[in-house]
Amino acid sequence: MSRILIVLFWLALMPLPAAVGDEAADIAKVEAATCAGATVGQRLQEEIQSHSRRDLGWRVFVEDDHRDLERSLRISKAMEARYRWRIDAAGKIEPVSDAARQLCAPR
Amino acid sequence: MVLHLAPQRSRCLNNVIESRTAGPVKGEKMKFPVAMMRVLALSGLTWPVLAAPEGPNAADTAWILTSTGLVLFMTMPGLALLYAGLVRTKNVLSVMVQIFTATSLVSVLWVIAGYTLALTDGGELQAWIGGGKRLFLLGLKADSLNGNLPEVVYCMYHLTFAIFAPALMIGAIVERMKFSVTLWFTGIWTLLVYVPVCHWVWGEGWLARIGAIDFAGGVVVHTTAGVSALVGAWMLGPRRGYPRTLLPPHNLTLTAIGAGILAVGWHGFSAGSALMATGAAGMAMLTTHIGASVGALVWMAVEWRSFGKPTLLGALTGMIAGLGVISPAAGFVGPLGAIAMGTAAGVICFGAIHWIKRSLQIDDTLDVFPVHGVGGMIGTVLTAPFAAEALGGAGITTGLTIGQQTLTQILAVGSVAAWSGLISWLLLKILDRTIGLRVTPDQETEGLDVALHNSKAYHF
Repeated sequence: MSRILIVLFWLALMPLPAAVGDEAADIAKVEAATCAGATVGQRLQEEIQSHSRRDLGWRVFVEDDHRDLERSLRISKAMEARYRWRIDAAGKIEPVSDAARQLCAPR
Repeated sequence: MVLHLAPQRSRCLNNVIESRTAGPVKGEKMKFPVAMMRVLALSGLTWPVLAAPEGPNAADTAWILTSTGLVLFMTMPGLALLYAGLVRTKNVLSVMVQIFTATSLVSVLWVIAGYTLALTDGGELQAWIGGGKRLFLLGLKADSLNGNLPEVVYCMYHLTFAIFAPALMIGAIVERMKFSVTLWFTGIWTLLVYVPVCHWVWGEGWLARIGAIDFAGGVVVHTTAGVSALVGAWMLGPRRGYPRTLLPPHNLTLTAIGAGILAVGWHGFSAGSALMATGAAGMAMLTTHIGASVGALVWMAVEWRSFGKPTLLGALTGMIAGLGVISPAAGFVGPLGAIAMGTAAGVICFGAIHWIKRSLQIDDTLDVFPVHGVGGMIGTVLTAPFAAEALGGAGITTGLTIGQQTLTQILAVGSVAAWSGLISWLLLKILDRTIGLRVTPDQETEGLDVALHNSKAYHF
């Protein structure tokens, strides 16, 4: 009985690895994107260290034809900097928040 | 078949969705939380099992717990001692009991409805007020998160600000307001003034959306309290004998102790508002201390020049004015900005006291409006130019230009002052019509300690 339950549990969770893997891949793709002469990941790290901010991590928002990835940095009790990028169905990445655009603006 | 459990963590997938009080942007839905993965290994096959998010930042949590204690200490007994020393001997206990009971009352109201209405997602009404997700703090557990902090710590920290604001107001209406009116006014004011304004600025309401910034409470605490205090003092009328009779403070040593507690506790108020144990908090602490120091020195210099001698009360008041002015700016400006803002506190707030008393002839007994109200408003507006990186600031993080940010700050101050004044006036009008605001002349002469609280502070 316990073996049956284990198998059923395993089968129920089967779709998850692919979905989670997709999002991990999306985040890696965004972090590797070019941004102001460096990568998005490097520029975000600069923002965190130079302004002494707290990294609150990534969130993923899934819509029918695109996925939005947002990285939040805590500035103070009243403010978070939210950097958001969109990956469309074709895999193209573009910034969709002012913070993301400013992050990657030419310096 | 052997089941192996092999927990794995993926730092790049760290996520705090469940706890984010503001919620996702409207129109976008989240698929599922992508967090640490605990992988079950079975016969060489692996699959992810969703586990809890990584958890709060321990250093930040420790610092904010400490800051919470510091800010509470500012009110109890900091503000209580500060105010108590400034009134006459026959009213010492009445001031203290007003502050201590206001603390308790606001604490309960915060749990019931204040926190949820101030700092959670309000859905369709998000621009104006929060929602009911955390009524009675239901659903708030020890492991609930808000970003880098446990949500309960976040809630408690904000509670101490909600306590401080109405406690400040009490300074304007001492020695003549009925105790029952104090309680009614404090409680309803918290829900109708403080909570909405807190949401507008700190809960991602409409002021936050247009880019208004307030690091530690120039608008949310000092402007609301200061303007409401002025309205209260005006509607209540002056103390008997004012301004003809000299009504000096009875014990400035108590006041000095209270002011010292306030100044030290303010580091929790300002530096704690970074919500992080980082260099940003350190900078906020430094600018707060500089603002207070310069405020004290400049006020003392102006007083010395104006009246021939510097006084302890002047130095203490200047220090507190400096703290009020720097509050909205502490984490955004640098040391140079703090010096400038402390100077503004010493000059402008000093002038405001005399303007209120001489021109408007309002008996704002303990100068709540000129020190905290005017100070908070000046500081809020000056935050914009002094946040500039060229002046050592952190830069304007909203994306606005300095000019745009300044106008936004002015709008924030104006709208909050108008809201605070209007609601306070209405509230006091209703209370006046129903139960009356003032004690009787005999009670006022006898002193509120005996008349209302059956006690005396001193038995000489």
